[in-house]
Amino acid sequence: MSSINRYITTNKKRRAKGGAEVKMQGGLMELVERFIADKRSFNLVCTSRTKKIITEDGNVFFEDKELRKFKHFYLVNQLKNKILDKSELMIKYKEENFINPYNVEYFDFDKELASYAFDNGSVYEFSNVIEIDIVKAYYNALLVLGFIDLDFYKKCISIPKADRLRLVGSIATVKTIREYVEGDLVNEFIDQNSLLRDVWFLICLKVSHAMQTLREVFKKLDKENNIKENSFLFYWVDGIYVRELDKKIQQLKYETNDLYADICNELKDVLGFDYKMERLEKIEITNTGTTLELKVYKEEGFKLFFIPDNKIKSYYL
Amino acid sequence: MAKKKPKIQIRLNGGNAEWLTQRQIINRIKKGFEVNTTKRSANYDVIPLIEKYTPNIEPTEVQFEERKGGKTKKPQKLKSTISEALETVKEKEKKNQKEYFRGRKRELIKESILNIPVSSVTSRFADSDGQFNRLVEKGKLKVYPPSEFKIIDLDGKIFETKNRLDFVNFFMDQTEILYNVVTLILENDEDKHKISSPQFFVDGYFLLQYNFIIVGALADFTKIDIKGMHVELFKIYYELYKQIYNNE
Repeated sequence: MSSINRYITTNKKRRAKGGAEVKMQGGLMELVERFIADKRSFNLVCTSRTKKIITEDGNVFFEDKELRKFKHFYLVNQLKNKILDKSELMIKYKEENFINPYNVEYFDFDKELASYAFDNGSVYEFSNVIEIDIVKAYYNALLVLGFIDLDFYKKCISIPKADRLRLVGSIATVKTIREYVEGDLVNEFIDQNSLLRDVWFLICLKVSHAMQTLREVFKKLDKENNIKENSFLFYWVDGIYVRELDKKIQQLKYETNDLYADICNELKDVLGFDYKMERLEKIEITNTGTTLELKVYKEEGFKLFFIPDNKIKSYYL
Repeated sequence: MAKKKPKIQIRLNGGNAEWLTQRQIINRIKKGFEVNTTKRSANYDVIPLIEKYTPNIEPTEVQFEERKGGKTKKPQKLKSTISEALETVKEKEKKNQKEYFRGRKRELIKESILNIPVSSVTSRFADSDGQFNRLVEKGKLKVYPPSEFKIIDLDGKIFETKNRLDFVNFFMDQTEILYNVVTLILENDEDKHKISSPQFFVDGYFLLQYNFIIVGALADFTKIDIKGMHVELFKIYYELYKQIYNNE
């Protein structure tokens, strides 16, 4: 009995097609080493979080513990096909945008926050903070850019957050494939779809542009009203955190009772994203001696962020 | 003597402006009147009252009226602020594109090229010597192995560098177009040539390609008829090169 058969459970449907697949946790290297010792021919397909051994007898799929909960594999191909069906859109988008992994600014922090790096062990609080984030950002971007329709958007956003993020991230998957022939590694290559990867970086770019636009809006508001302290605190991927302007200024100068809701509405008209706004209890910044922690307090608890060292260095070194 | 209660100017059901006390306003709201603020009432906290006593009204739905006309209008100031912000982001994007190689990418390439062992480069170079020879014949170009740090262009001008660092600096400093070509290779060559990650920098193969690019940037590939695996690469690079020139 071949060693792989010991790992492959009966799966009638797969077996009818000539192969069987079994999911496993751990033990990948042991199996690969055994195959090499047995002089078997197989392919090892690796992504960052999954590994797959493909043989003539069947496949063995290794996954991370947390991925065991992912039950939406059926949506992965649907999403990829939807995007590929609209691939002609990319011609226009490529002309309009500089699509490049290095061109996406996933986060930004105000210099004031970075300055707390020099104050070991201290804790500071910001009150009157507003959070504005893009609702289901990456899916919203796919919808706004026309890669998916509203029905599919609704289908995707109905699944749990962790799965939702994994699903959209799957379009940028890079697979490393190692070909073993009779136990010897004969070829190693990368398999990826550059169109899908471009779409991924395009949606990341669009989301970061939306955040940068908001950041600029708040900088301009500060300037218009001669406010010395920056309103903008930081943005992280799809959420931006700012200090709220005085109510009186909002009412007198901008003739509104909620300037931030107006900004969201106005930006929705221009960029197409749906925004969600929330007034927060407070934001706390703690210098732990080694890191700068940001705690964003909400009704249901708090979110934790870290200011990356290179951001601090970019301001002060 | 009781203190006189301040009156606030508001509009009821879109009618004329009226002066009412806070209590009177609350009563009107409770009775189902549509209460709108006016410019004069902006000094008072009317909005919280409206929000508090009108359960179904969203704060953003409160409409503000212009004093002259009867139609509602969004504040223009905010619109201009947002369009200015959008412009700033667009400009920054353009700048990013231009200065792409002046930042970390430039450093990464420089560092990676410096780390390539010379032996690896020269052996790879020898493998493709035939390609170079043909190139020299057709395009009257000479390309020396990287260990010699020399490049001659179509006009016979010799670029000679003293050492490896100089050689790299030559690439980096001579012309910005070259940086852009390399950027585009990074982005476009991934599938066809399996050059997909910084790993390829430690492979002499890339430096070889890099030489081709330098030559490519100085020569007109359309006039060169060479066969073999690099022909397609040349075409791609040349297209990229033209694309950059056209964009400039």
